Amino acid sequence: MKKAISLLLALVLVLGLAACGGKDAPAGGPQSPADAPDAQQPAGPTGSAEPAGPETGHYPVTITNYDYEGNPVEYTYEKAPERVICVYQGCVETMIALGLEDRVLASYGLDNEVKDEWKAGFAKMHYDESVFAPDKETVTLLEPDMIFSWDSYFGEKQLGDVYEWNQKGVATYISANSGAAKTRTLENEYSDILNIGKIFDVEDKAEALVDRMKEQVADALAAVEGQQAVRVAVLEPISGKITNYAANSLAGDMVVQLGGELVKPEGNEMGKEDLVVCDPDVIFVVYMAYSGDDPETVKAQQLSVIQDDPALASLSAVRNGRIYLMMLGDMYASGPRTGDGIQVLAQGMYPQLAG
Amino acid sequence: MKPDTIKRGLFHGTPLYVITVLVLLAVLPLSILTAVTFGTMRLPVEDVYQVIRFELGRVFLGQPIPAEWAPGTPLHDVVWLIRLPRLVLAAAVGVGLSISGVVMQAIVKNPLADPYILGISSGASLGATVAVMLGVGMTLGPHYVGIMAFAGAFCVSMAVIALANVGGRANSVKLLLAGSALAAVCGAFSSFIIYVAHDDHSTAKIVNWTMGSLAAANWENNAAILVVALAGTLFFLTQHRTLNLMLLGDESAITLGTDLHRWRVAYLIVSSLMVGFAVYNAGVIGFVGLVVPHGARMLFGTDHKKLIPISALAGAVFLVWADVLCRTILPGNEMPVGILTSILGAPVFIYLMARKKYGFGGGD
Amino acid sequence: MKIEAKAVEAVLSGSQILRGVDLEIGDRELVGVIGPNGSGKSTLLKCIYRVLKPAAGAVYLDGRALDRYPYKESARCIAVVAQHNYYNFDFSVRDVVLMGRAPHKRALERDNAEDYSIVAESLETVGMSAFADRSFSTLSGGEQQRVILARALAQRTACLILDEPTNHLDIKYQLQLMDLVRGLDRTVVAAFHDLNIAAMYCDRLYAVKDGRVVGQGPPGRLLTPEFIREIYEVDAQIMTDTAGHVHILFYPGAGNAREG
Repeated sequence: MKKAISLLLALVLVLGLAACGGKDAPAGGPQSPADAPDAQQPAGPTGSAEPAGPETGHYPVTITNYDYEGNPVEYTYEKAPERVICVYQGCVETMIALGLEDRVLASYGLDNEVKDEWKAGFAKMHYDESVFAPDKETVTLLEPDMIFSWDSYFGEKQLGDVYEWNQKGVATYISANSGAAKTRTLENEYSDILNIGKIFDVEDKAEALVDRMKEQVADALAAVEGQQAVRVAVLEPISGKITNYAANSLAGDMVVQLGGELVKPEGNEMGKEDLVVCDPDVIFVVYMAYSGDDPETVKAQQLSVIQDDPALASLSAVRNGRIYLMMLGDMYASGPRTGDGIQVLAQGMYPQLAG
Repeated sequence: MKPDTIKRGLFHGTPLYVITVLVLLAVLPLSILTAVTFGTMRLPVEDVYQVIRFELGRVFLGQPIPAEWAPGTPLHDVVWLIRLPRLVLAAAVGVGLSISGVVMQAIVKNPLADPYILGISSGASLGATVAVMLGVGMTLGPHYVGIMAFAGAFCVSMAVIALANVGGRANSVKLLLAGSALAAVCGAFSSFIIYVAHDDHSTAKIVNWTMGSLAAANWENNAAILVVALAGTLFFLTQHRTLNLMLLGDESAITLGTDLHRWRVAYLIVSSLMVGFAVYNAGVIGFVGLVVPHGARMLFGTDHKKLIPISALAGAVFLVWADVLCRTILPGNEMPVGILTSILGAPVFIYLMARKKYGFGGGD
Repeated sequence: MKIEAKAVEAVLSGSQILRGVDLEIGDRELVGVIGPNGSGKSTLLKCIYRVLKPAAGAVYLDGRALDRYPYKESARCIAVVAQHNYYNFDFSVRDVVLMGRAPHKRALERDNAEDYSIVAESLETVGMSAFADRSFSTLSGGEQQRVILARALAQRTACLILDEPTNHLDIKYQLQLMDLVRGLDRTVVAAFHDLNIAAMYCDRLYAVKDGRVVGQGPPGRLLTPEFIREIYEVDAQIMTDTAGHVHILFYPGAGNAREG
């Protein structure tokens, strides 16, 4: 008798697996350029071996993301993760913006306060401020089924590379612009949001969010069509030197997508003499206020490096007052804040759009 | 020339020394005036000198400057507010580091000493780390990182003196040991803070800092460091006898009428001030304080009466040209001057050690 | 220059080296301090030339307590030839001797012609003029010792202290040095390892053992076989030659019969 039942179960299992394996092309269409077959099968609980039949229609979903080194890694989601650990601002805010706060097991690592419109959602999220980014042991004990964070978090001294986690059935998602992608682009921000939408089956919300951003860009471009490209520099004073955001940074790409021209598209340092030579029309000064800092002080300090330096007095941006502050969080793996970044850039570059 | 004479300095004659000092005194301003024509912007040489001429006219004679070369024009600002302050800072830092190097080598009686050996650079780094990572001292204004670094450097120097005096008077060996110990402690704390603060962005700030750069030069700061560097050099010029005695050791020095102990402390304080200002203005720049005194000793012998002026002038000229190289070697980017001096200094240092023929131990 | 030590005690690294030493050295005497190793000879001299501070008792120069003299002033009264260390730096012979003028110079005072002529004279006296431009570290032990003596001479002091100056020297240079020293017209205090040298050159001797003075007097009177046995624990015979020099002849091993 026992034998018969086990045989029957085995048969059902085999049939189920066969059916799963048969479905190659996932519902939403993967982002991966490579048409490789599923690189890894999740070693998830095989008890629920129900084939992803017509009932859900959405899963399984295969997403191509990255490992720590930036190599493409595919992962197939059988269902929406329910025990997500989010670390760092962009990831946390993406989850809230897409209304997914109830899937979050724990969140960590905020640099700034969450925007007002997301505060309600944030309250429902289990934000743990006792530690900025939990260690491997803590994360393992929490038994998540997905970790959503930045590239640096998967270094060998932190959580370790993604493969180990994936094999245990824990999905990983690394924000492209946090260091995994070779060049940081606006498109990457869009695709990250869309991917999360896919993973959690909230594609409509994701697409709405992304469309809003695309609209902002399109509107700006339309308004200045036919005009000469505005010459822009995005700079961040750091202890006596000035960092330049080049074409391969998110900010740089955002400027280009908005129809602007970067005065120094290569090189991540801007010497004072270089700046005088380039003489951009508009300068964006990046600032970052950490907890404990007074944001107004930080902003004033950063601004004064460019504005108050007599050596830079001859710059047309200084003379015309076209220097604008920009928050780091709006243009560095910014997630949903990318929209704010776009707005600051567009308004700075095209003052006629204000209002 | 007998080989033994070579050993104690190629040019041991007084006339040659005097000529060299005069030559260097001329070479320094000439270097600055030549270096000021180098830069990212292609500027006609005559225009560069016109700017300088008019500015000097304004500063010393109160004459107005014609509009073409007036402040606010890129030409003027690049020459007078960007390039020239950097070169003057380079000269001042070169002087400060070289003299500190000479003095440190005398204090610890070891030609392998450099200005940072008694923990000064570790103290500066710790100060910078505390400022950047923990935000301590932000109320001090926009230069708070530099001020904290200076404070760190100075505090560690004082701590080294205090530690070396524990259990009996400080001597060279105890100073060295105390310096190493405190450098290790500072390094440990810095690393710990960086690790705990967990912030890639700020780590870049600190790294920037420790690589040394003249980019932030301006005239207000230059006034301060020039005064300190010159005053320090003049002070040590008057101390040449005691510095010579320091090399003989405490016992011999007492028999020759000098208690080295208080002088060591005094020299350390003045030297720390000079290095502290250099670190505040330009971060940590290595090898200058090690190699320049050696070169000077090789050519002119160990007598500090000659060593001090030559080291000061040579250090200034060296760093002025190092600055030019930094700005021109990587097109479109600037190499931090600390990296350049290490690249230049390390092979020179290895060569000096390999030569073995000079001043490295009585028994050779 | 008169030197007196009264009840001087000295402690080094926790052990008591000198246990109350009295000393009196008259003007222009050549006084020797003898005793076995560890007896405290060097320590006693160090207390006189101020490298060590006595734990008790005091030293007096011309009646005035030594610790009342600023270092510079006492360096104008006392010059020292001691065991010197290796220097990690190169100095020329002339530079080394020139440093002997330091006690006479104020901070901003420059070396003048007089200083250079004193240096030349001192080098002449020790017979090292030809080496003036040589590097000090290239000289032999004996030559270096003579240069240090020249430095001490350049100090132009009334008193000279020699701390085992003849160690490591060939006999020729030992005698040469002592001939030189005796020819100087100043107070000299010297510690000796070699009894014969001490006996040959000194006007008076102080014998030190276990941190105390155990005898003093002219060599001829102080040095008897019994005394030598007491201090050095060896057998010896004293002989005075026709020129009046006292010679100590040592006998090997214990158990040898002594003669008269």
